Amino acid sequence: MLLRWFIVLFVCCALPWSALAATEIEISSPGEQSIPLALTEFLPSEGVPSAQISGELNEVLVADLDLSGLFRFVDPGAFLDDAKLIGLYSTQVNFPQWRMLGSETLIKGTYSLQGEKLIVEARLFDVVNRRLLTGRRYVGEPKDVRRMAHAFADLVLKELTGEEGPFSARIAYISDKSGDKELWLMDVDGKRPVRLTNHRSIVLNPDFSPRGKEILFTSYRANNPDLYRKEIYSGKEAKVSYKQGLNVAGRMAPSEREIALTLSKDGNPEIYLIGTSGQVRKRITDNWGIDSDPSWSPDGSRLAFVSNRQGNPHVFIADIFSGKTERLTTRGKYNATPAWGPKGERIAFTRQEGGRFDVYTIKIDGTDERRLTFGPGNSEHPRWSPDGRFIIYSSDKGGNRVIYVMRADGTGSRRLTTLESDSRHPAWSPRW
Amino acid sequence: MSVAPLRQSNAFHSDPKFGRLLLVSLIVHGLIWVAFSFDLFGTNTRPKPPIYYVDLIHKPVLNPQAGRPDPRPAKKPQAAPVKPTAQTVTPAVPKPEVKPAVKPQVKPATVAKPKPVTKPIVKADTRKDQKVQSALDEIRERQARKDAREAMKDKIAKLAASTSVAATVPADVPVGSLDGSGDEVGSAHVDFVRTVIQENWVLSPYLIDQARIADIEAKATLVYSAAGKLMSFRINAPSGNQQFDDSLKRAITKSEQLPQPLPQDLELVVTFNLKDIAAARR
Amino acid sequence: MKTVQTLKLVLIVLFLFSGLVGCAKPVTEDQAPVTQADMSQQQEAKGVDDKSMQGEAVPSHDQMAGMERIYFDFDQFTLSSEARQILSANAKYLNTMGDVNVVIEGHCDERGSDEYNLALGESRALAAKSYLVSLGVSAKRLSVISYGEEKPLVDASNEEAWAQNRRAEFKSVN
Repeated sequence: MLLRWFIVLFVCCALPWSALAATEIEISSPGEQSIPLALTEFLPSEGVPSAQISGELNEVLVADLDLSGLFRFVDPGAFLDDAKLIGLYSTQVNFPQWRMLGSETLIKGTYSLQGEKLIVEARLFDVVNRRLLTGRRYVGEPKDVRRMAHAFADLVLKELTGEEGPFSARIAYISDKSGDKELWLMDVDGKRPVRLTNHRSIVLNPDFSPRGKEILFTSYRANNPDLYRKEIYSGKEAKVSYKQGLNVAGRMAPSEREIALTLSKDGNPEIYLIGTSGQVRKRITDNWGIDSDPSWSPDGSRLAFVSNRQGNPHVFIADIFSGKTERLTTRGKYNATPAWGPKGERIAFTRQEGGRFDVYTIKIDGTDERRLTFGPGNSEHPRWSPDGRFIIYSSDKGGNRVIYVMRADGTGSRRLTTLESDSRHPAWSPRW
Repeated sequence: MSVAPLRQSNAFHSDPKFGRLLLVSLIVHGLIWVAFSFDLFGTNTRPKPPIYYVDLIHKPVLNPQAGRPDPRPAKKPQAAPVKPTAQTVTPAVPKPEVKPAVKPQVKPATVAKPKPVTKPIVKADTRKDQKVQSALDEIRERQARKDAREAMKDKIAKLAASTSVAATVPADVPVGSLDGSGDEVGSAHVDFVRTVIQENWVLSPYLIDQARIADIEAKATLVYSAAGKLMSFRINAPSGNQQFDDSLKRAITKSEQLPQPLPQDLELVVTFNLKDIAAARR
Repeated sequence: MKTVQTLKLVLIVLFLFSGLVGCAKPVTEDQAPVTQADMSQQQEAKGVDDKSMQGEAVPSHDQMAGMERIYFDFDQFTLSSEARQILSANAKYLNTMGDVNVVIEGHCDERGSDEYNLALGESRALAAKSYLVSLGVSAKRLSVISYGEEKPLVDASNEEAWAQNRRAEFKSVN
């Protein structure tokens, strides 16, 4: 009797399990490769409604988030009534409505403009899990509105990817807008350009110090290509290296204690390390050919540079402690302007192929070379954004050289500076 | 409202009508409490608008027949008809049927007309080179998608060649399951669930360290009831990448109710990875 | 009786309280942190005031009469035989002009990396200088400067212009 009960119990237990024998399946790509994002217009919470404020917030967020390549924007024309309602907390948001529009993420925000005071509140929501992901309240003046939007775009990337965006940073570049080649600074979307130098000579080759407080550049102001440093906020400026001949392509080490640059004081362009006050510490290269344009590895132990020691210009990597030097690029007849990526894995450079220059990246072991630009015109002088997501470069496809930005895989390129003047030598600042 | 009953409680001994007043007060407060705690006024959540899924071809069946494999099996039952921008509207779903189902839900609230102010969102700045560039990007993306599709087709073709049943089937045979041997027209239910989950999985490759795309992987166990409801799930072997694992949780949450019931309960162990993306890049 | 009264009181209070709770909007606090950022506290880069700083204009030296330019091939700083002939003529001329100092400017065409071209221009000027020195011109009288691709002779983008721009020029300094 008892046995029979046991059997019944066993069968009862075993039956559903046998029906539920786990099936294994594999899904090897997501159905959608961009995150659907609903970006609503910022609404006035109190004070005067201003179409300009909400317009600029929207414009900057769309541009930054679109550049990131992470998102697919849900068509604002399809938005329902919740888009018109203020929602700063998850309890105030009608999530089913956004889910119905196919959105996974939602940005909502408000602004209040009272006299010269502007307060912007911005929120990022997870539509699927119905929760607030991140939010911030920005206090400032109406002129800060674009910076607020850039800062929030950085925050959105940080929340979704774990790494902050680079949109609050700036881009230094050389422009002849004022008649001479001078050093300028602009937002990462090309807006709000500011001129930093007035040398009325030739200014070249800006590069930020790793903490972003200073810019190194070369100027012919004293009739010789000398290396200068300039404090961005105070505007203070000093010569760092002014030896006979070239003092060019200065790049501050990640430690900020040394500068790698090209000097020709010994009769041939070679790469040296100097202290921040100009004294020569170490000579890195020594051969008959040209050695120029160093770029630091993120850990400060190696330098990528250009040399024609084997005939044509190629990118080499030198270990600054052992002095051991290896050739990186093997293809093409002209490879130049190496820029070591902030993650340390890849180096961007330009190559001349068929009479035109294009931007490439390559792994530091010389494998996995990728071409990122495909003309028309010459694409040159690549530099990375501090997070390694983007590359800025100059292109002359429209006549003048102008500055472009693209994703590090070559997609999504867009023009940043105007076609009317010549802009070149972009450098993306560290995060401020 | 809270003051008046208090005053009455002072007159507790003198007022004979106190009992009745108390009763009314109790009922009223009880009603308020019920109204708010059960959200009768719908302050926070509006009832979910009904979404109709109609799929007459790809209904999951217990005993699928063999047939010509469709490169995109059950893509259609996904919520496509509701998306205003969706291009793949299921032919089986007559449009007017969906629209009225959605509209009345929306109407009582302020009308959601596309306002002129939102227009600039869609990039007022359409300069030529940007256009060209975006066109280029689109072509590139399309190429990548095409490559992925081709790769999938190849895979399927290879599989088909290996199974003698599929190989002998003429081209115009109705769509069925590749490994099907039964007598019912439709997708094998596992394929069907797989497609639903994949369609709900949204992950930008920009979220993942490019070096990890080839080998990132996570395993999850999902248990569905025969009604198509997700009874439980567990990420058994997370990838260790938070963005990747979060995207899986979202995909599973979105797949908590399948658009069609299943022939039986189903326990699935799903391996998620990005091998197709990695393959398309190579 | 007393207990009934207290019971009633407790009930009233309880229900009042529950009513209040019911009336209060159930606000669930969001977990994500909402922090505040004060934009006006952050420093802003200031542009230069045009009048505040006067850069001295680069004094442009004139090409010396009697000294011809020499030209180079793309990405080269070796002297062609033609360039050597010109340089020997230039050397003779310099040797007749006892005390004139000369600055040799190295230039490149617009193609290629600007930084590399600065070095290339320098190497071109240095090559011309060492050849002149080998022909007996005192090294003290010769200095070099590279302008890379910054000062083209012909501002155009074609083979002809590029050939003209890949050059070394000789200018007198007083």
